[in-house]
Amino acid sequence: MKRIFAISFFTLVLSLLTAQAQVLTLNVNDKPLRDVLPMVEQQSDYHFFYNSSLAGLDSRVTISLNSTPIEQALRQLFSGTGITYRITDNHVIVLTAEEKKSTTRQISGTVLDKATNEPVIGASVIIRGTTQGTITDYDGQFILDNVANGQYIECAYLGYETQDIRVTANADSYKVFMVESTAQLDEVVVVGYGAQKKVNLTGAVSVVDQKDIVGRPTPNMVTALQGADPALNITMSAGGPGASYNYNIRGLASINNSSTTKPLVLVDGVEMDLSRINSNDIESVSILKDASASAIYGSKAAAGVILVTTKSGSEGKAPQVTVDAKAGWKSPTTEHDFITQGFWSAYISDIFMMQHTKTAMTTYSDADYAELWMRLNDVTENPERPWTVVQNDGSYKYYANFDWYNHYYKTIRPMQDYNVSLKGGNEKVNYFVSARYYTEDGMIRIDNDKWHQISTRAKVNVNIQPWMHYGVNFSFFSSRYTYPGTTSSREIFRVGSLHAMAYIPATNPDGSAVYLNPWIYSGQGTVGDGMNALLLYGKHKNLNINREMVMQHMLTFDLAKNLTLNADYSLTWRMKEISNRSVKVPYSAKEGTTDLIENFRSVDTYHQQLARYMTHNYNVYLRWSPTWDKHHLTLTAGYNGEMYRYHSLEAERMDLMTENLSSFNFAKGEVNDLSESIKTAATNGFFARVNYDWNGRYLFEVSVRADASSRFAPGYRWAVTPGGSVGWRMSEEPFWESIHDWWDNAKIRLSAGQLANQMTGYYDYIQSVDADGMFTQAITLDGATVLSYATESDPNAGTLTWEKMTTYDAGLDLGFLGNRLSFTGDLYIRNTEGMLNTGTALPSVYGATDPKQNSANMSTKGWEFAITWRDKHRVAGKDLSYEISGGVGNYKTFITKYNNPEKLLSTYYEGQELGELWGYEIDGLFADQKEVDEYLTKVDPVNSMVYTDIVGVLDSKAPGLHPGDVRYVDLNGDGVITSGNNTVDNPGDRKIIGNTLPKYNYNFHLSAEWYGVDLSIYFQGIGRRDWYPMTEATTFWGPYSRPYQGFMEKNFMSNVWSEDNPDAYFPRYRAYEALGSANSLGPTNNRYTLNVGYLRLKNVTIGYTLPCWKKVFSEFRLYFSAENPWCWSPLQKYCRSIDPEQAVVSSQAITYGFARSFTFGLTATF
Amino acid sequence: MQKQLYILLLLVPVLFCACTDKKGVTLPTFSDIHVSPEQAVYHVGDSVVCTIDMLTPGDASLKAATYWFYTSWWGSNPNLTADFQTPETVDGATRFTSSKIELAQAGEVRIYFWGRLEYPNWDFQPIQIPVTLHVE
Repeated sequence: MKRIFAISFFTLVLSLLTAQAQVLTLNVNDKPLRDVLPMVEQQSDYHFFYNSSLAGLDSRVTISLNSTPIEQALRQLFSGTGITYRITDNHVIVLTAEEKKSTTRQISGTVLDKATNEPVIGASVIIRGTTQGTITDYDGQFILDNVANGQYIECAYLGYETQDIRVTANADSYKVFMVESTAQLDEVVVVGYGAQKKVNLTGAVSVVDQKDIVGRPTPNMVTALQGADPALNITMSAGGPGASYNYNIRGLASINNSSTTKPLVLVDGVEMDLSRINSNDIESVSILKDASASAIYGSKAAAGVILVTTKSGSEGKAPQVTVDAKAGWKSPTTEHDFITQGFWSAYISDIFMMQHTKTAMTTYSDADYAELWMRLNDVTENPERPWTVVQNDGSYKYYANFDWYNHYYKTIRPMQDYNVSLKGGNEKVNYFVSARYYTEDGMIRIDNDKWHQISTRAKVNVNIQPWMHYGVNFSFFSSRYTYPGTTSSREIFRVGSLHAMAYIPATNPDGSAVYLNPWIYSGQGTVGDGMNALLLYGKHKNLNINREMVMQHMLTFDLAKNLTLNADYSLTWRMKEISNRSVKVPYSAKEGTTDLIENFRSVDTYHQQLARYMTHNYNVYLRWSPTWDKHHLTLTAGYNGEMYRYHSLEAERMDLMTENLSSFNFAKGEVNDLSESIKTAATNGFFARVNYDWNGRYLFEVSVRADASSRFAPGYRWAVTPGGSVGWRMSEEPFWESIHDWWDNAKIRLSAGQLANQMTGYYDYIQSVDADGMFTQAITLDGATVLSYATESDPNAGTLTWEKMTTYDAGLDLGFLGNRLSFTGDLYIRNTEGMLNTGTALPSVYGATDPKQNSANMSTKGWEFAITWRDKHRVAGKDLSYEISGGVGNYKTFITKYNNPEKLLSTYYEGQELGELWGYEIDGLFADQKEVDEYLTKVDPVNSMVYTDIVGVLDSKAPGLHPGDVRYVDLNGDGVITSGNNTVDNPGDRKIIGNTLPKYNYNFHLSAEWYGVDLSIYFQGIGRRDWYPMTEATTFWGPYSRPYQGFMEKNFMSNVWSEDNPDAYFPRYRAYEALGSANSLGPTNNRYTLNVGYLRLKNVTIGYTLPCWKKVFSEFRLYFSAENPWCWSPLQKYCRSIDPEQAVVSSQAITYGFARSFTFGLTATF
Repeated sequence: MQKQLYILLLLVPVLFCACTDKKGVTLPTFSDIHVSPEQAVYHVGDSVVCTIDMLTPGDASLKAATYWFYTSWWGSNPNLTADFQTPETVDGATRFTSSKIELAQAGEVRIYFWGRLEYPNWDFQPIQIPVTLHVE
């Protein structure tokens, strides 16, 4: 390992040193200058441009140089010749002193289309480096004043390549011939094992523009890619740093292992995690959406492929350094205007609780309420009215107005991001090196969590011989996340608000932590389940470290004309370290006393996990791309192999000798865990692809891949995945000529292909023995030593094999008005067959779980399209270029085969639409007792499954149905509200009321650039997605879930039914109605199913490239960028403290808060 | 002319806001607190009785009201709690009379008359009327 690293590093340094050699050694005695210049060119990267009739070129030169820097050598060389020169990049432009001093004058000209000789109307004509310019008239003519000899005139028009002409002393009139731009048509897209012209693509491939990703104030590529393409669905698991994420292309590819059946992400051909890629390194991103495009990647490409290409150095470029630095802050995307007045927190919990059990939540008397009322507007403690009153027995009584949210969490937290890159090269070597440091403070205020991230990349390509090329690509990523609290950083969001009522402060007057609240009906409430005391004590420490190194070596041999052999090897090494320290946590319940919290979070333990991942990847492939006349052929064929090994060690031991140091050396107590895990896997694959086109008009592509996976039993390991596509560029047909001047491009694409999914378990086909079991303390032979035991897993089906996905795609690409307006759209069908699920039911005498089989199928149908308009206009003497683009996509997935003959709703069934939401129907709230009485004549609430507490808790203040309660509809008319047999045929009173999968994924983007000012506005959204807030979605349900939940929006009660507020959203106030699954708000129903679709301003960036300091910086840009600054969702009508994306992470919507960021930055290139 | 136009434009949002302003409830009004015995300087250990009259009853939508007297030195004492009031009609006026309050602290101390009024839609409104006594 170390050796590989050393060799790569040495190669890298050597390459960089070679690239920097720019000195001259020359001995010339009395030779004409014109003969010396070629000698300089031979020794350096510099090239001379001059008029051969210049008199000074015949000056005789005598010079002796020895490793003299090039600039100094040129000064000596031209000294005394009467010639001046100017250096631009590696070009030396030779001028006479006379030319430099020439005066200005008027010139005129005509701009013509080179192909048609027609005048180009409205073309911009400007003097380079100035703001002086004009546009051509109806005849394509222009006149420019004050033009000096030697100046360059730039002629530009959309759809044409920009032309430069040099003004010379002997011409006052010029003809400029514009050549139609083929840049858009020649745009090259990276595809599997190669690249193709975009116009020749026949598969469904979309490209994400690097300018939409680079420079965004996001820690990684994942959030930058969100919404970049309507087919790409990315869901973050949380908003915190290093949060995991789920993503798919065109929906779920399989019902199994949705977390592992992800699109394959290849960075320069090596599999990587999107979250560990520096978005500033990105050159391009291609999304291969259909099977024909992805088929060449075989087994891992079942869910599509995302190809990321990083930047490289360029030949003939001087070293170029780019520095990008930005700093700013993050804040929550949602409002957190929670109740912070102790009176209201106590009052609401009490009235809700009394409706449930007749007992108030608190034991506060009228006098206590008076105390709370008098403090109602005390933002800080008034000395007359302290928030904590010591009772006669030393215990504390609380009358606070405490802001628990701001106690736990920061709403403004700083972030910084620094990037530096160096690139350049010559004809022998080119290089790109980058480094990044990113840091942000987390949102946990006490013992603040922090995220640090470093990433570096070095790419060097060396032309060893004209026919042999070597490349090395090295990247390293390291992240470090430290956080307080318990092992799961999410836990604080789940339990932190429980019993954290505004009338309770976080600390007692003596500074001790508050943990117990004895002033509730049950005797004691545990504030934040101990999380408050735990955080204040500050001894719980957690550390997550991730390190990943990827080293790739590539060799390319040009064996013959159009025939290359490529070979590469990459090693991906990843290390994960997790350590968690917890201690016993003190608190005080009486003045002068300290106790220790007695729960599972307050134990003295140290836990550590060390995991190592290693992947070796090999590719060898040939590419032959001959051209005969109008026939273009490309053959690609090769081998790909991969070996993977995972090794993890995990240990936990109790009772350390000190709270301040965490090491197993200090642990003397019980060993809770000491385990090891090893997993290995290997795949071998052979692939081939043929691309053929005739004159860019008729396009064909066929590919095939054969893969073998170690995850299946011998005999079931191989899978062959074929793919094919055809394309017809109608716009290249002769009959198109008449409309070609406004309709530039029209292409129809058709493709079909099959992919295979191996993402089952590593050893699912082998029955395993688990030797990890330990009997309880009661089972010993000697009364002391606990016995261990082994268990055998349920028998497996040895015939398990690949899941197969077959995709059919029809696409249309159009371009109009000089390709200013473009359209691309696709319709697709994807059939997944052989998904693993419980196969044929076996008789109960079998005695074990029925083994899984490749027995389930599903089908996805969808569409997506994108439209782009890009144009350029001359405004106030400067080009205003702008682009408006947008895209939308949607899909539906149905289960077409599943072993569920009874069509139970508890699992998948044939005909089911994926994501469908079954629920009851509520047609409103009972307006008055008459409506209740009438309902009771038809429906029996006692034997229903939705009114359990209302009719069951007879000791409540108002048992039974009352005005303001929800009215469930008896859909099947059987007199009770039930779920029937929980089958499709008998769902009781339920029906399909929505769908939890995202519908109509869309984006639109506006960018413009004018006078050095650039603006980018990027919206992204989901048209519809249904979410039912489940039992613990406490910030939505408030006291309907738990009456002791501390975070309640200030306007919550305005949505609660009362006789004064009969049209309210929420029903009659009553605690626990949302918590119990058979209570009135627990079961999924239509009234409280929310559309969490959203429209989000994903990014807005405004920058200004300063026109000054051009001698030092080729670019100096200042900018402001905001990520997620604004969001609209129907959800916000009833709940503004839950982000719509946060809602779908879990039905409880309890996660690390999603963040928006605002940054100021500068980019300097020199 | 242009000036008038600008003023008019500035007034539009003001008028709009005025039109959409939420209607508030009319609270009852009270007299000042009358302290008996009335004297310029009190001494620690003196006892006083406070009275206050309701002058107007306020909005008829009032659902419930709770009134009490309280002092600036009771807040940290768990044994001294709000002196809740039941109004009585005296000479046609609605009057609240405190229990005997013993002045326990020297300095500028305050006695408050507090009220919590409950209107529909959980619209709770406060009444807070203080009187300051000089205690030596």
